[in-house]
Amino acid sequence: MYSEKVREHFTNPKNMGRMEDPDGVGEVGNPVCGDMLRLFVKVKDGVIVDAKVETFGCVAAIATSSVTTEMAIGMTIEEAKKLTRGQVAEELDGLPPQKMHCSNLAADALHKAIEDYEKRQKKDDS
Amino acid sequence: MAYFDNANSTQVDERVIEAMLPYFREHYGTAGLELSHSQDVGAVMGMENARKTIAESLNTDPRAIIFTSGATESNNLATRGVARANKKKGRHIITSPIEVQSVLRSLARLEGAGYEIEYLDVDEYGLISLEQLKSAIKEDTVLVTIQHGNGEIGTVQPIEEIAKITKAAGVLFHTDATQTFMKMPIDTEKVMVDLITVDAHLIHGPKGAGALYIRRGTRIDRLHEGGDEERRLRPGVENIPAIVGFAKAVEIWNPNDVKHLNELAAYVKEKVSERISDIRFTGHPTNRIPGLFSMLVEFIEGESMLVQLDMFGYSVATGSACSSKTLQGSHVLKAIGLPPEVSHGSLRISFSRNNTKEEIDGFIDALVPAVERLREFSPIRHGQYFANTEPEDDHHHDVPGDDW
Repeated sequence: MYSEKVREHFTNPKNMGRMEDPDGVGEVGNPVCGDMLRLFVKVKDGVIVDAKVETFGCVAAIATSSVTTEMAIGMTIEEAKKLTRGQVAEELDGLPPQKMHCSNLAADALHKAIEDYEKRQKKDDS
Repeated sequence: MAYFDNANSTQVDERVIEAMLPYFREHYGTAGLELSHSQDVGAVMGMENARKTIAESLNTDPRAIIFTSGATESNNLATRGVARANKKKGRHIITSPIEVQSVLRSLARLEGAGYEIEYLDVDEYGLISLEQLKSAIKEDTVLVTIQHGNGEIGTVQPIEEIAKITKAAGVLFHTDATQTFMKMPIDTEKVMVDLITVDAHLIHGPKGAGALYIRRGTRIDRLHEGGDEERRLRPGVENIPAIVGFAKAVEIWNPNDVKHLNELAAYVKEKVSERISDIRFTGHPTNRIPGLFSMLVEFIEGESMLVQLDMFGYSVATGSACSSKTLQGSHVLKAIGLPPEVSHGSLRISFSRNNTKEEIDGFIDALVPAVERLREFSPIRHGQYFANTEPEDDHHHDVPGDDW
């Protein structure tokens, strides 16, 4: 059984869809596992000012996508880098054991998006 | 709202419940001794009448019916029981990759014990090839086990033709008819199948009651040791109330129900085709289990569809890996050649005689927005799949750490 919070985030997910002109994009998962995420971030003065996500996956994958973007918005890059799947799952009042990997997926997508953002920054600097 | 998961289990008919009650309240003896006290006699009478009813449904003698706890036990008994009793003749068994787990895992145990299990190919519809079956049979083949109808994709195998081949070759043939029982009757006088698995709970009977038809003269051994019940082939006190309920479900089955089931399946197919793009139907287009509709909805995942439909009160099923405990996708969809990213979007809608077209209309009105919503934020669009297949991205195989 999913928690009420998971069901709520699944029914009314936040920040879903594409972002035009993102500062960083992170893709994780593979179709063989069943979950795929593409997470976009917009960064201003070292702070994530917007995040969007596209998700192919189960209820848990969609809910973690939603809650991860919600948590990420307003975080500094350094704070977002430290976001763990444990925090994501906690924010959703827990996930069934076999669904824990979904929370990892969303946190990883965020980390990859930040990586991508930092790579782009370096390019701009050079 | 409506229940469309009747290939998983059905609602027990009120008449079945009524028929069972006296076997809890009055005839609560066992069926062990015919010359015993009246509680036992009542129980034995109920059970033997039930055996007659089940036998009639397969056009056979009551002595050909062994009651079991259900399809799983019948399939185990048929496969390992036959293998054990015929091992002097040989250790080669032929099956298909789309059998239910109680057949496949029972055969896997035999494989571990030195038996040779051969899996026939299935085509895109899940059909086996009769030619391949013919050439697969060897001198040491003892058993062919091929299901009648597939519970995931609805495909019905040509068991009459299979039986002709096995009969000519002198090989035993078992079919799991759990999904087709009563819907597609098997006349054992005409179809030369040797063992048939049937179950009560998909025809509005109770859970925990099944049977194995065993053609007279078939060499088969028991799997458990115990008393003299079921001609010692299945020791243990029979689940008499459930067996009586099983027979009642058979007795009240109306052959006209099949027409209704076919109409519902055709109706949902028509409506889905009209309203949703990018879908694929699974299983054979015409050789199908009545009332079982199965499809793939592309670009989205089945569990999320299932949960959203459930929020609107509609019960359906999916073969998506995400909805299983082990995160393993459907072995059936894999065997018919579907790539995993497509089979994740599988939905099965299975009807009973209690369902109506109005329920389907309501269901379509819930399904269409569910699909549209999930597609809206899916990263997959028309053939545009992206895949990161490096091991580090293999999230299904990471072991939970200590932090949670």
